[in-house]
Amino acid sequence: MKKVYISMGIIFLLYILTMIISIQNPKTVNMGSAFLPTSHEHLLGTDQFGRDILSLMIYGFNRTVSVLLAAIAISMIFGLILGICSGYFGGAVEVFARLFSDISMIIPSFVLALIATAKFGANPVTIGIVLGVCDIGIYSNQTEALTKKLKDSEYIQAVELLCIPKTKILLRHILPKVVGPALTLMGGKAGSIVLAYASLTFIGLGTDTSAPDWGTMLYQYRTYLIDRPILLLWPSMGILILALIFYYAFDNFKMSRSREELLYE
Amino acid sequence: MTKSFLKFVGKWILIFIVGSLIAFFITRSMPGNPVDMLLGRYGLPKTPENVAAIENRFMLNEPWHKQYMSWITDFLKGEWGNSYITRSSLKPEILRRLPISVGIGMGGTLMAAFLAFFLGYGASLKEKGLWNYMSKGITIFNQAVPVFLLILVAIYFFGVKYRLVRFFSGDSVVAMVMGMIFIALPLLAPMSRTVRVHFLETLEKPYMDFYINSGYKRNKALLLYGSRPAIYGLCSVVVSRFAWVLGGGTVVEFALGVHGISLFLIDSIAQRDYLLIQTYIMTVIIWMALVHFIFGFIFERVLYKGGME
Amino acid sequence: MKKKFLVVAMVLAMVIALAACGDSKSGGDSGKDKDKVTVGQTWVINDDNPLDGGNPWSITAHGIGEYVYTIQPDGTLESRYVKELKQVDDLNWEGVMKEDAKFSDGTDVKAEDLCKCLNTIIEKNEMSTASAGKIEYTPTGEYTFTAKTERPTKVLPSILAEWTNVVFKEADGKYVFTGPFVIKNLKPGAELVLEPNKNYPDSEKRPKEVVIKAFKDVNALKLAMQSDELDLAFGLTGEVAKQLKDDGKNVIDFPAGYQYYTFLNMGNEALAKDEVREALDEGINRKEIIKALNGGKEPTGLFAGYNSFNAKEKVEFDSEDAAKHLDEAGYTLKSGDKYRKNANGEELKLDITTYSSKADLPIIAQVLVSEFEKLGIKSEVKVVDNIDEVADSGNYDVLLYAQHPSPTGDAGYFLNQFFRTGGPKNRMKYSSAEVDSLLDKLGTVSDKGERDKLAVEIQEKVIDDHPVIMTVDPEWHAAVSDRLKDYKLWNGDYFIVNPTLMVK
Repeated sequence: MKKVYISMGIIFLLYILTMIISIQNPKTVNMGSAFLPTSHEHLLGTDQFGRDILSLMIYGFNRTVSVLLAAIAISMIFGLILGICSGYFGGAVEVFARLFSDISMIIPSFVLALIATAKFGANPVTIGIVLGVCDIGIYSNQTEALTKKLKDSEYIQAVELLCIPKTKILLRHILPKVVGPALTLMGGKAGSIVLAYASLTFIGLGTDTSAPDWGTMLYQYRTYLIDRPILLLWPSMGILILALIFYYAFDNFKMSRSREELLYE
Repeated sequence: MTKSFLKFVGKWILIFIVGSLIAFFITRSMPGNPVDMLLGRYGLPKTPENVAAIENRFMLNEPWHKQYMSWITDFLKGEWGNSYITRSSLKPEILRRLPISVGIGMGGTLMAAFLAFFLGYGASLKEKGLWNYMSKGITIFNQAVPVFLLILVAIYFFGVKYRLVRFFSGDSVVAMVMGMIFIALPLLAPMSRTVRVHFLETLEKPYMDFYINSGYKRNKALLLYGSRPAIYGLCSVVVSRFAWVLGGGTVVEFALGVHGISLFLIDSIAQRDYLLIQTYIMTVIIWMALVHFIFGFIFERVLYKGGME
Repeated sequence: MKKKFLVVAMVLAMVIALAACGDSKSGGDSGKDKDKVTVGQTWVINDDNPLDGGNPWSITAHGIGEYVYTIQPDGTLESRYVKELKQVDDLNWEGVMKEDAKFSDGTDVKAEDLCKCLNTIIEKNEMSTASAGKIEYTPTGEYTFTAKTERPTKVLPSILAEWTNVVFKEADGKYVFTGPFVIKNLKPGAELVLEPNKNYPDSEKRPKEVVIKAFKDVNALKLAMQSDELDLAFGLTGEVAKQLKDDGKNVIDFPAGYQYYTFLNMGNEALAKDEVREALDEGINRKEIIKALNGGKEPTGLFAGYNSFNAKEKVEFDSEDAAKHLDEAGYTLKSGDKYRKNANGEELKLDITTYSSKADLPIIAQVLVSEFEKLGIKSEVKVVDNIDEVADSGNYDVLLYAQHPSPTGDAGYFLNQFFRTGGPKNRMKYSSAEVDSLLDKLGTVSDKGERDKLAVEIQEKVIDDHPVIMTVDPEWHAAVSDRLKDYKLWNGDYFIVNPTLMVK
């Protein structure tokens, strides 16, 4: 748990910091100073429009994290609810939950993204929510399988015999056990969410390149992949570090166990 | 058998109906509409006559339930209609492109599964070994570098710099194989982790000690007795991937210019070709039902009957 | 244990060998083949029905079909079919045809064929009646015909140069065209193989085979050009064109014909003020835009520079004067503030709405945002996918939009659509009695010189009122292999494969 607090603390601090830190206006185009190398004025150099890359990176961090958090929140919350209910109750609930998660994966994310951005604007949170919706199925499938296993375990059967209300069983005894694996799954997906956004842009989703997140930076600089790979290095590094932090924080994540559970084991 | 078969059919009929309704309404809730797109594309004024002419052609002026019913009954009859934009018939076009997308997707998945087995096995042998680091490394790498960049790098080095492969001229076999590789790459890492977990579980089984004590080399014993559960685990991942194979190759098709069904979809989304988007979604549903039927239903039953675990 | 790694190595080797094997198979018919030219662009037709949707346009862009009149690089019209077209009265015209044009099957294009074709188009393609209503063509001799329009027009040749009016006939259930090439083989949407039309002038100088391939990503197009798999790469962005130039490839920069406009919504509170619109016009450094696009010219009118009816206004960049205008309009910048505020303390915010299907637009938007922010105007780019819907709704501040104002060599259509009070594409809510009366006058004049003068006058008035900021007169780019060095391109994407495609 400690490493989760530490890593998420770091990200939260950076998030706040990037909101208040004073940077050069990342929107400022200055064609006269395109492709400048690292200097005192531009610590990471400038891009093809003469924009300061450090400012873009700082500004982009904020947007990148917004995409991530929105996506994670949506897919985990709905995935867990659907998965637990479907695994525990079975029957009609299961059919409904599976239907929902199947369909969330059938609808092309490109279509969803178009609808969402037209309704709510092309901001990071909107895109994050869309990417989250498309991932609900992954979490609900995993959670459903785990819940089914748990339901058959002697421990839960014993708890059921004690006439504890169903909601309490779900929240106190099943949820803590399925959250861990879901978080581990999430930790391994953080980077790919950022890249999924970049891929949507690549296949034609309009995006504001004057205020890019890191994935959009990768998309925007792809033309310079061979000639000036340094442009792509910074956003790649950023995404990599972010992915590593999430991976490290949630790898083999386990909630602390309840007392009863320990007793039973 | 009959009961579960009926249950299966019932479930997929439900998905089909709900899916078709969602497909129908989701296309119509997209911003923009085919009328605007067509007029915009040809620089025509948006006069009532022009709008009426186009709406009339596509039945867009009918009430929604009529549009829906006419579409879904035609679809079930196997008349998939014509594209709004090109007016060409959709069915032959979809059937021509489907094998390309399915081929790349399945080929890539199988390629990934094949490599993942060995990578996962290697990774399970030693926590701090080369193969485990490699499998972890690929995982991390995939998290930071998007596939479209990898494809561009590959084309540059193999196509432009060293001239080993001609990606764009000649037959599309090259593009297909490259497509498979790039589908396989992002799948390789998670699959190898699955394989590794299964091998590690086998390692903890008491009978492994028995085999090792009776003179087997540890690695060989693991391969001999751990392969089956590992392959089982891998198979279930592969099957679940097969169901999603159609949407998975979009970026690959786009970057390599492989004209599969995903590329068709992107074009039609850009043009608001409602009918095509709806037909695509229905095709995916039918495909998924087919995969689940073949693998989840027949395959498993045959395997159980055949006495395998 | 080593064995297992050997297996992995072998699998990798197999994959590479497989790729290489596909390669050797295709190696023979590479782009270097002397009689074969390969073209890369973003789309390929699905079928050759000239009556379907936008097909006549696509067929002509592929070099299969030809319009009755074709616009030339200098903006004038020429026809291989019509020698003379004389207006009798408001609605009636008389035409005399040239006698040497042939269909690709070798038969002559006679008045009967032409009239049948044009009447079919009017009947089957709703889009063909936009300019003058229904038009009825009647052959009066072997090579003479008459035309009767539903609404009066002064420019029937321009109408016959519109994208719907491609010359064709039906024979044996197939469509026969008149362009420089004919279809040999078609993979719908993916690849088209052409061969020269033997009945088109200079057919022996054209390559025996032209393959057109559809590419989706401009970088793939660039790489295909770099690996010498293409002879013509059409639709390059400025940055890619520059990279190819740096790489020693031949790049053709040609006037796009299309113009990029920055429309200002005069329904917006700030933009309703003349000073604000003038400030924006002066405050934008177009040189930065041209550098960002790696090409293009400073515009002098609302049309491409090559048109005789383009105005000759000078655009000035003066950020100090622009700031003064904004102050006058009541939007002042207090020390310590990032953005200008009005008397009520509200920030001046103007968002730029554009779309990405023309790749240059988001780049221009980026420069505009930067220029706006330098003036103290808060600004964001909104890239939407349904630009016409958003524009029609009036729900925007600044609209960055691409339009070909004169694809048929006539100025009247565009000016009427965009600047007449209540015009269908007048999304700026612009209204000027003077412009309206000039447009009325333009509708009654048929003399070319007179029309040009009127068009210039209208532009000058519009530019002075600033409902639109002239942004850039763009250049588009295509890369060609050495043997296509003399290839000519003009009028944007209307004639990607054209009669000048000859191999040295």
